[in-house]
Amino acid sequence: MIHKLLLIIILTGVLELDQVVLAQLPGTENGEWHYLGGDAGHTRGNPELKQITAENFADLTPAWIWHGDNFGPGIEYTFRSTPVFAKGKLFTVVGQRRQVVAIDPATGETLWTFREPETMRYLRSPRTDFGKGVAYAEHEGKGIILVTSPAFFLWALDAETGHPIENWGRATGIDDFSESGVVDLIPYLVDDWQPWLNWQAQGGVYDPDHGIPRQLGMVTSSSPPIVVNGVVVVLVGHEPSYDQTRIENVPGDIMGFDLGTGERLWKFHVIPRPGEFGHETWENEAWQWSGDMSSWAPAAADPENGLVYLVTNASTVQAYTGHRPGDNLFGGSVLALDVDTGELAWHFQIHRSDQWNYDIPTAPILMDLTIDNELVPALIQNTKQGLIFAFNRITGDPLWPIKERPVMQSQVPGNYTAATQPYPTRPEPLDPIVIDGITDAFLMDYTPELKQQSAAILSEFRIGGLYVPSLPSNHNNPYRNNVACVGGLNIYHPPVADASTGIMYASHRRTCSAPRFLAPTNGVDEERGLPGRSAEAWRGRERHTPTTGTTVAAWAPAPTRDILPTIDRLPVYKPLLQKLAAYDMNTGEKLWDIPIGETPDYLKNHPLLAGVEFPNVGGTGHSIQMIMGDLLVQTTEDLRGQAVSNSTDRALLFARDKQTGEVLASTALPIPGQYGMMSYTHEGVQYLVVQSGSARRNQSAALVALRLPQQ
Amino acid sequence: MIKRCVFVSVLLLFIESGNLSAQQGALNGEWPTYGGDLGNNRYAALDQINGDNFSSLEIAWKFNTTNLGPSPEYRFQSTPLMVDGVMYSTAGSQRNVVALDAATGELLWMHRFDEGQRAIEAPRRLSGRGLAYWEEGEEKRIVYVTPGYQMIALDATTGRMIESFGDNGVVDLKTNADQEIDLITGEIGLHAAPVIAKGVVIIGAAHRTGGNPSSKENVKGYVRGYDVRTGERLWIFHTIPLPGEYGNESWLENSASYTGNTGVWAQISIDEELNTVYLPVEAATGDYYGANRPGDNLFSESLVAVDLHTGERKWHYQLVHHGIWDHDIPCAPILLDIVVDGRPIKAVAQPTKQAFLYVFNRETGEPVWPIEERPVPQGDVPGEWYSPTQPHPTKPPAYDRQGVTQDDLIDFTPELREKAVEVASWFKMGPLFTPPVVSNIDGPLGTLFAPSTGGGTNWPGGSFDPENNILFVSSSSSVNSIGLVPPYPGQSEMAYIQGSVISGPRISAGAGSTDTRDFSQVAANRERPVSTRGNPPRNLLVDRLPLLKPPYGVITAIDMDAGEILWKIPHGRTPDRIRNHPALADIELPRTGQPGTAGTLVTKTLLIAGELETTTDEDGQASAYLRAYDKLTGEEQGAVRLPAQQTGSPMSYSLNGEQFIVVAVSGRGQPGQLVAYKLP
Repeated sequence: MIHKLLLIIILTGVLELDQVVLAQLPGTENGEWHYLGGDAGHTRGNPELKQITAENFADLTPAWIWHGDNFGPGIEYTFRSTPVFAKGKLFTVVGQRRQVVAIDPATGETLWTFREPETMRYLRSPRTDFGKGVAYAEHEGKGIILVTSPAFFLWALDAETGHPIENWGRATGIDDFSESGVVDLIPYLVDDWQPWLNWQAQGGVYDPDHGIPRQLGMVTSSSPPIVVNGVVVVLVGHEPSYDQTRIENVPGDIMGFDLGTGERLWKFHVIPRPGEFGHETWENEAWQWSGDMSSWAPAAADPENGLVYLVTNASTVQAYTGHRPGDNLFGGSVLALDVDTGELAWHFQIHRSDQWNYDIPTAPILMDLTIDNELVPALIQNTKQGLIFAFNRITGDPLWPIKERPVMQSQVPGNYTAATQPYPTRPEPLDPIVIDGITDAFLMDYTPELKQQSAAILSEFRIGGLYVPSLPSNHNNPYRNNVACVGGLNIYHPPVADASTGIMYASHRRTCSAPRFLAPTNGVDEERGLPGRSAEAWRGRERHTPTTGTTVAAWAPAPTRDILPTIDRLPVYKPLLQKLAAYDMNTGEKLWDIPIGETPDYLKNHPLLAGVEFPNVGGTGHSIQMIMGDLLVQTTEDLRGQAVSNSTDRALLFARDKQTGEVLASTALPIPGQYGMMSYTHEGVQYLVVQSGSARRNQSAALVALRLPQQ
Repeated sequence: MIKRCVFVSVLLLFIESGNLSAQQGALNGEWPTYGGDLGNNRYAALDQINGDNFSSLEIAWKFNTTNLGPSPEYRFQSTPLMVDGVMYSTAGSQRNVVALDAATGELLWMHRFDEGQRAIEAPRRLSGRGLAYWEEGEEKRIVYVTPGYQMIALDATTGRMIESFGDNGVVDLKTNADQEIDLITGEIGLHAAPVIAKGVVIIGAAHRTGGNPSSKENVKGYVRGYDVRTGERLWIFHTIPLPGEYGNESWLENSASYTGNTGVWAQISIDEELNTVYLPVEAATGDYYGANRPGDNLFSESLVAVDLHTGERKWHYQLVHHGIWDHDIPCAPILLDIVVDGRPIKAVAQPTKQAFLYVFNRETGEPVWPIEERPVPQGDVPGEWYSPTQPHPTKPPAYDRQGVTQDDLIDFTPELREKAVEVASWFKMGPLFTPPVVSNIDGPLGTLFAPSTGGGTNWPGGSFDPENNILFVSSSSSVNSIGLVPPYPGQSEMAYIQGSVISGPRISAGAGSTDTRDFSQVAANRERPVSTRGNPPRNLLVDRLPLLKPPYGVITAIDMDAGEILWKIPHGRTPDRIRNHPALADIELPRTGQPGTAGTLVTKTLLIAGELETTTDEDGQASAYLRAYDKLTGEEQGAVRLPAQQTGSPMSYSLNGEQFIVVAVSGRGQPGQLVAYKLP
């Protein structure tokens, strides 16, 4: 492989700071937005778009609202997909069905729609409305939209018409499906997977309408493929492993397909087979039947260097690893694959043997930094934990040392916990509490009484930060339970970066809690729910996808808990509801970390805090942001919390100074935003599109496009 | 009633034969054609939703059309179809076609056809009133007409155009039309739904509204039949007969050669067993001024029965001779089987703008009850040709107010009556068929038309209950003034067009169309004449109250065996502007109904219609209601809030054991949506 960027550096020697121009990866040229993250590096920004400025920001007015109401069997309030903008059209997926639509960028008119015919495997899918976008690519001058569906088909659609591409892929054998333009991903995924081969040898016959039999596994997708240099890299999703009770599932292997033909080019085993790197991290032969290891978060790519970057989650089941002892590569990892061959260029395991639901939730961010006057092709990985990892994306070398720290060990018989976990020395975490947990510095100590009570409560617990294990429910330690803290982010408030400055922005919330106990299952699990319910129904009420496999894990979360008490609803630690941090990734320095929103009344006006000058710890709505020209555009979501709103209860969109975070201007939104934003220029007019919706306000999922008033 | 029950059992035998015939309503819980059946009964033989549970209906789903077309549509008039669990409709400001899951409202596919300038010039833009479904073996097709007058056939399963139909799925209706029509600017279109029977698609024609035509010449609104398999033209019926054809002699002074319009923009009905198509024909060019077309002008304002396979005329009846009242036949002829004096009759009943229901034997064209030619008032507009008589049905009675007399003026208070008399004194009053006048600043400013030129009954038409042989029709008890004035220079070649000496010639193009000519500046600079007898009224309001007494809109039930009105009720809550009018504060005003024609639906259990405007609820919310009435008494059985006022017509179907009612709604600031109701 030729690393062109490295060659450039070698040829030109050390670059001066002000000579660095090509910091952003391709994708946002000419005001387009080719990837759901804008550029191939997923920075979610375009610093070149400068028609909308701090001066005119308040004049922004809705150009159109695109309603996502009728793209599934029920009303959705979430709009997870960030559209792409290419060849004069917006493209997105929408709704539970993950229909694909093309939208006129000036009027919001629906130009075409594509709906995959219904299959049982769609109804069984645990990730129906979780579509995060589409991939756009061009082949022989023709625009092609690539999507993976909840039922796990790969589609290639003509960007002009929405019709499946001719002479592409292969017929699925399902009624109503087109003969071309589609690939059934399941046969490719399992064609070298031994449980599948065994099942077939025993007379199992594949039914493409039904998908993989439940006793073997279940597979879906949530992030779209990413297309790099004519290769369609398909990402895989699963039922979250915290909802699994049995240990068998299908691995989320990553596959590459030919953009021109739909032929499969390669497969990367996320659970290494014998002879493959990392195979030894699966003791107990667990590689044979373990599955999941999804790459459900979006991917990024460096086309010039032919590398695609993916992140992964845990294996089945999540809470207990006794059946899969070992570090479990390539779980919880950043993967750099050669896009031509699918071979591993490098990897970094962010956390070993995940049992904390620390799946890596957001795409790697790629941009070129200038460190010690040298241009460095970088990869920055944010985490749920709040740790920020930075690498040279070509070599995989950490930009700053990453140190191993010993972590608490599991007391559950047979369970495996790695002795140490990696902690970056730089940059500092989003929230320092994650290092050692609720130390004295983080005690709720605003009054002497509160400090005393907090300390008293915490004295009954063992305090930790990250990687705090669940205790067995019958433990007899001198403490009631462990306490863990995280302070990171998730997919619904993704980090962004400004490739022109090297500054990375990430919003974060602090959560400290006592993990659930684990209890022996004695081979009995819980039969959960029915397939086909909406994701919102699934969230908290009904479990719509039964667990896969046949062997119930030895231990599972216990029905009883011992939670971390509050003091009349006040936490025993200093709360941090929402902050937005900025890091200069050229130096690894945290520039600032500011509260977003206002401390809610239940804290600010709490009787026990009477007379206390309570600091602003932010509001409940997560901060959503994007880089646009010289601005950090920022709003708050109204889905999991409450959006920052004006006096007439309309959510506000802010223009902030991207150097200082200071609010320069604001404008009211017709519907609160969520997940993400994007911006583009069409016929000389810059548009800003906010993914929108709010169940609390009964405003269904929509895209809101803003622009300056037209003369 | 006993006799009727016997007949109903005969009908049931028909139903079991399973053919989509005229007089049975929608079958199998589906709604496969615009009017439910090809006889446009708008009847669904469903009874799960009844008077006891109607008010507990809940919204099952809504389909939002905001993003169909480059801008939202606020006049959504569709009656969608439902076949095999899939709903089909035209929708959006550019008339896309959508297929929806009828259980959930999920979009299955969308078809969009960009016509560019041709659509912008179209006389009938927006989403139209619907489309047609056809199936034969495995073939399932949707046929619709674009705003630019192109017929398109789609695969009902995929929404893809049928390549073997016409030219890659498209038949250009502006060609092969027995006349030259400019493909871009030629003034012809169709917003009604096509209808299909036995493989023949029937296509009518619509134009701009005809009060202010630019010329005595226009595109002729011929009707054509096409092969649904190939798009091939099978026949054409010349609604303005060619020389040598029957009726050509009713156009004096060679006026048939240049006169246009005379299309069929209303819904067409078909009796498959009789192989007969019933065409409700509109007026000829010049809605209110016919000096350029002397004679009776066949087949304008006629009901014409033609052969389904050849288009040959079987019979016709001209409802209005030489029309100068804009009495287009505005809605579907209703095909119904009735028993009159013990004699079964295959009948056709035609609701009209003028509030007559004309009833014929649909096999022979004979009136079921005598229709008499009676002398009518003659006018004095220069050059106009007046028909000395007009047909007057003797039965059933007119179902709404016809003509204006002093007694019709409001009399809530003596003061209001006095003012009303003063307002009315500026206009010519008289019975139905009182002709328009040249507008005079000292009076008359115009002729009072009641019903107004919009009806009476307009495009939504009526419904028929084949179990009880009751016909239901909604009508607007409205009034307007029609005057004639010379056009602005360059506006029209006609001597007179619609207008008023106060406001000048009409310059608006009419609903759903745009006129590329702009006379607004000329109009703004126009000098208004001064009256010698005081201040002429600018409108027909008296202290902002309507000139005529309520009700403003009614639904009438007509016993079609007897030809008698069974009951009549005001439909719709009293408008806020009336209810809250200070002059009426002390007056106990019964429900006035709302002006306009409300599309109706009949089921086994109920008559159902939505309100046409919103009124303010006690909680301050502006609401329009979908209301259900007892079919035999008109008594209200229940009501549910609509998301916006009804602008389409309700339909009903049964799916997975549940009855749904779906209606298109829209309004000011409320883009069109389909709203589906079912029981909780």
